[in-house]
Amino acid sequence: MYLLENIQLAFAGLKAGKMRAFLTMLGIIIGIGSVITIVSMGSSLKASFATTLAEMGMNNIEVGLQPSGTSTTYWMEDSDLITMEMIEDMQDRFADRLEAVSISNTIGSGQLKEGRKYANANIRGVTDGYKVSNSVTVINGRFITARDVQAAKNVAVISDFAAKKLFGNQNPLGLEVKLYQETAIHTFTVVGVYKHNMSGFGGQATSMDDLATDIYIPLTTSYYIEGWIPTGYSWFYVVAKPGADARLLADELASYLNRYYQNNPTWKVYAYTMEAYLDDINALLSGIALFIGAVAAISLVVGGIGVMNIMLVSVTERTREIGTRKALGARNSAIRIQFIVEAIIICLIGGVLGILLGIGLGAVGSSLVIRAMGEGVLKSTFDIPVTAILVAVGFSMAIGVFFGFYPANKAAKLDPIEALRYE
Amino acid sequence: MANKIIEMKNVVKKYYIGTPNELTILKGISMDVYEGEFLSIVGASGSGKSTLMNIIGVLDRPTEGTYLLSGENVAGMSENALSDLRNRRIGFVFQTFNLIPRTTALKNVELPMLYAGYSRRERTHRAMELLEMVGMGDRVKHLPNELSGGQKQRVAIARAMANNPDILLADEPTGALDTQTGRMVMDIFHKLNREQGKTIILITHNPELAAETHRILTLRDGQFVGESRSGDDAKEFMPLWEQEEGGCGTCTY
Repeated sequence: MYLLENIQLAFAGLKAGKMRAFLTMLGIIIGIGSVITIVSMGSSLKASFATTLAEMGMNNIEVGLQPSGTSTTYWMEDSDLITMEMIEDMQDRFADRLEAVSISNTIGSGQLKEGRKYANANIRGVTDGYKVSNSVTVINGRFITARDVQAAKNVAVISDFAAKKLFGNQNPLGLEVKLYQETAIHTFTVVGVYKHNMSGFGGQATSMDDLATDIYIPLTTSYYIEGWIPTGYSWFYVVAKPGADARLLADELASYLNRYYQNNPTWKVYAYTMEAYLDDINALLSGIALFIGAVAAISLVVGGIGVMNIMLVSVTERTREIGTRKALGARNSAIRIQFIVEAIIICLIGGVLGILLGIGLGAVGSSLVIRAMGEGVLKSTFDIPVTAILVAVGFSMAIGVFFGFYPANKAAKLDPIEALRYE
Repeated sequence: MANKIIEMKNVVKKYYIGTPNELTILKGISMDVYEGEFLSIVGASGSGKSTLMNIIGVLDRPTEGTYLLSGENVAGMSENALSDLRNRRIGFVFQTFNLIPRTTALKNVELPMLYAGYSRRERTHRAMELLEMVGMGDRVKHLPNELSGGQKQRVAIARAMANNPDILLADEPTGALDTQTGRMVMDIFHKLNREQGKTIILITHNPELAAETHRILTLRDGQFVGESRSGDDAKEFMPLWEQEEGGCGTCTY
């Protein structure tokens, strides 16, 4: 009934003591701000992981070796590795549901040169399945094939960025490109060009010109460059066919391969879908968010106590006003509502400022985390947590009611005679 | 015969009841006030004036005795009922004005109507009228700290009149004002009494102001010790014991 008047009155009071109002709100601002920061960072990171993993393919299954749990030594011997024979067996056995097997080997970085022109590159030895597992889009020529791998050919697939830098508008297919490493120079024939995704922050490049893109060469060729040929693999990717239940397949793959590890005391095979990873990451992020959120909630309580304190001061300062209002016929409930509304307004303004602060900090924080973690690996996504904002607004109002009630009730119960006499 | 606005019989007010410091402030006050009267209650400090005013204004309840305000017995009324009674039947005018700070003159006058539940339009309309009436029509948007003492008191009178109360209860309304502005305030009371027939109770220790009223009740040590009428010499009060029973029970107007 007096709501509008009470709101106007509360604003007039806040205006009269801006500094005090701000200091009172600070606790709420910091509390709500930190909650929103954490929640928005959490949801942004989740969204980033989700888009990144989805891009990599939710049908991807990571297969690898992990300690079997009963052992205490984690040395991996050559004999422990998953051999090519095992992988081929598995491919045959699950041919109906396997799209591809992707094994890759990153052997560091180098510089591609053509005359005086250069392009920075990360060198990856891959199998044909890499195209599927990492969603590589070939725009010219072809990708690395199984035959390339088998024969360890000196062929390469380069990015459109590198092709443009090195060869300009010339068709690079069939041309030779030199790869300079610290101690060696290798020559490859370009067989394909893929589209480089300018995702995220574009890696560590100090300028666009120095951007390092991937150069794909056959897996076996990468081993020759390294001068070391492994007897097997500690991990690789499998891509499930569309429509196949990736999680079920992962379980079956693990148990199939684990037949080879029955007698291995140290290692066993795991198979994990991207989806399962995503769930794990989400659970982890939710856990962190919950914990930090709980800490932030404590600052909200502290802020609420600050509001209560200032409201008690306000009630004391305005004892005469309260007495006058009562003499003019204000019921106790009217006085109570007046002070509760004032407390709510303080908390609500604090809450809104906190939300703005939290969104700002959350955006900065999540981009920093993504940059630190991913270097272009993670897609940057900022997600404004609408639910959290609504909850925060509701919660700050609730704080106002909760911490405003005691002072307001004190005001309402003042004896009008005493209050009028108060100096 | 005019209506009785106030009917008080043997009102006693005690404090610290049941303790060794029990204090009896009012020792059996009886008084009747009729509609349209302009009455003053005088007495030195400590005589019980304020306590009596609080009881008349239903800010406080008598320990013993009965008090009927416009025929309603205030004893046993709930706090909310007393609030409503103050809101509609009593108009307080204080010595220190007690305007709500940071609130315009207009909003101050609207306040009692707000508590009475009038619509915004009705409130503003009536508040403007009242401020015009006390000659403050050109300062409605001013805040209390932008007004002089006399102006504040005029706003306070307008506020007291907001819900057209049965009684204006003025406690030393000129106490904080200089003679000239005090005169202006008294003139407003006279005008309200004369033109609108407003019942006014003036509580003061100033015999000169009291002499302007129709009837003067003198309070000493919690009892009425005298009563005089308009036209009587203000300094010669009729002794209470000449009354048959209590205050001015036989007064007619």
